[in-house]
Amino acid sequence: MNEFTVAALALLAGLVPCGVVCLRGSPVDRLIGLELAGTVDTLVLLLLAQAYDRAIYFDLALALALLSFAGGLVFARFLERWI
Amino acid sequence: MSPGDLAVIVLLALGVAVTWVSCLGVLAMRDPYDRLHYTGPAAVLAPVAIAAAVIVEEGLSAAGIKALLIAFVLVTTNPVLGHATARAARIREFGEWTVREEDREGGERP
Repeated sequence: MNEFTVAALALLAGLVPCGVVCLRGSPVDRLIGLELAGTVDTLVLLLLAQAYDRAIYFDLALALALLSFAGGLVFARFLERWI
Repeated sequence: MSPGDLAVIVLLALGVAVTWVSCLGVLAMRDPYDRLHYTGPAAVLAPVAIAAAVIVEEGLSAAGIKALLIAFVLVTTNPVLGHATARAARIREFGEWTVREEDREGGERP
């Protein structure tokens, strides 16, 4: 267990406030909680890829960063008018 | 402990601390516009600090370059996402996102 694993575990605690925000408030508030959770998850995957010392695992974090961006844009677009 | 190890620990601690503060800030604020401000540090400072830690550890190998790329993606996409979310919040609230007469008069934000 090296320092990158410790940092990944510590970052997981940051998901709790994001989850609480996702459970309460208006739909836009919940979307912001989801976007922040996507960022935190990307960082956790980045740290775990380094902790396991496999260069290929970094692609997972990259894919999540791009997909959470696309997902957030689609949610924002739908929240403008229809939901 | 070498200076490199110490730098890695300091950078990781910085990244984790910034992310925690961002998460707590999003939880504490009341409306979406205030909450959005707190997503910034988690998506700009934390990825840069963590990518720097990976590069200090690994050098500019495949892992280091990918970490840098991930930090770049997060730093560039977060402002776009924040803008789209704030725009959605404003359209939901007022039916349009453009400047209204009340805003021009210097009126209070509801």
